[in-house]
Amino acid sequence: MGTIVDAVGTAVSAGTKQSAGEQGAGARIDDSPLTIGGVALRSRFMIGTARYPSPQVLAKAIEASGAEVVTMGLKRQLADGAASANDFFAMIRSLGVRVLPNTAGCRTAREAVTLAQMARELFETSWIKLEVIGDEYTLQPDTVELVEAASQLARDGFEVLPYCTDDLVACRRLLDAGCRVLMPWGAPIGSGQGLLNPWALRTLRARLPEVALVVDAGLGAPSHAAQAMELGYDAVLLNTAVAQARDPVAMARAFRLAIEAGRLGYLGGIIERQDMAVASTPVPGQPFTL
Amino acid sequence: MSESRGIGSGPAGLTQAGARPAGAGGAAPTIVFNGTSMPMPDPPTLCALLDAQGLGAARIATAVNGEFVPRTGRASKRLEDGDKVLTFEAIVGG
Repeated sequence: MGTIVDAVGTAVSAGTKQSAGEQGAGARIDDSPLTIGGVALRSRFMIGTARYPSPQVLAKAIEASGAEVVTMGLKRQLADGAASANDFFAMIRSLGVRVLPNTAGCRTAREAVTLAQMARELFETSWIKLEVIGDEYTLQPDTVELVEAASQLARDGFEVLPYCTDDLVACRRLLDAGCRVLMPWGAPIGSGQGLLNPWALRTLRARLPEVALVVDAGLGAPSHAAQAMELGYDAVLLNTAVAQARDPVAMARAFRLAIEAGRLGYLGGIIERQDMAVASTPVPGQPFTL
Repeated sequence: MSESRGIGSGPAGLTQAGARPAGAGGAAPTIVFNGTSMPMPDPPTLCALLDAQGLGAARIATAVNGEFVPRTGRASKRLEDGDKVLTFEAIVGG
């Protein structure tokens, strides 16, 4: 499937960032890949693997999304030790994507660190989506435990991608702890509300211009993802918005296009908002009044 | 964002590390495996326990009393009376 940029006559290729305006209308817009932990990613869409109607739909949705990074989790086995019937990891690996394990369900730094260590062995990757939840209703991160866990894991050689709030100071603590990527929430997990605090997200982008920022959680519509990318965010991570859509495969494609469109919009240079009208047509006054 | 988020569906048990029920005098040593109490395996190692449960070659990760034990350390990890052993497997997640 061609990218949206192909459809409008421009192209996206690896290279230095340069706006179309600098090159002239209709010129190529070059966009460098998103690099995380030395890995260059062409797709700025990261997708979760939970809550799909079936493994088959999951596989098709991942393909439609174009995502190169998918999240997975770990769970404690049943008392009888029997393994789950579905070997999801094998299926995901067969798709040729990179797995980003998470520490979902952890409430303390100690739990998260232990789970991350198990994830590193199980999934054979040092990448970890660090989640340390502080409230059962909002599922928002416990910032204190999150920073502590990030610090320990970074020292242990993990590439830590923390699921965090949009608090600037908390984000700086995570960077000090060794994180090179931040994943602030758009809204509570699975809520589909979109970007609840665009001002805070915009502030993070402005104050942390060199940090890879990924909006994670709470998106519902493709327009939400486009909005995040238009703010200059480097990628989007979502799960429920696709998995629980009426047609997850179609929705995955919709999000893919929205993320590409938002990225192009950001690189193209969105006009400034004006409080009053600014005429587009350059007519000198009223046409029939001499 | 994983469906394992939320109460009751996460890696419960990791915070209970170190809690070892006191055994009665002379009672055979036991371990707790994924929440179920059972006799100490012979030899008393993590590797032997997993083999006895048919999980020796399974793609799982292990923790004893809340501490990660790598696969390479299972053969030498000696279990003590009351140890809590948990095994984890990969699942879908967000």
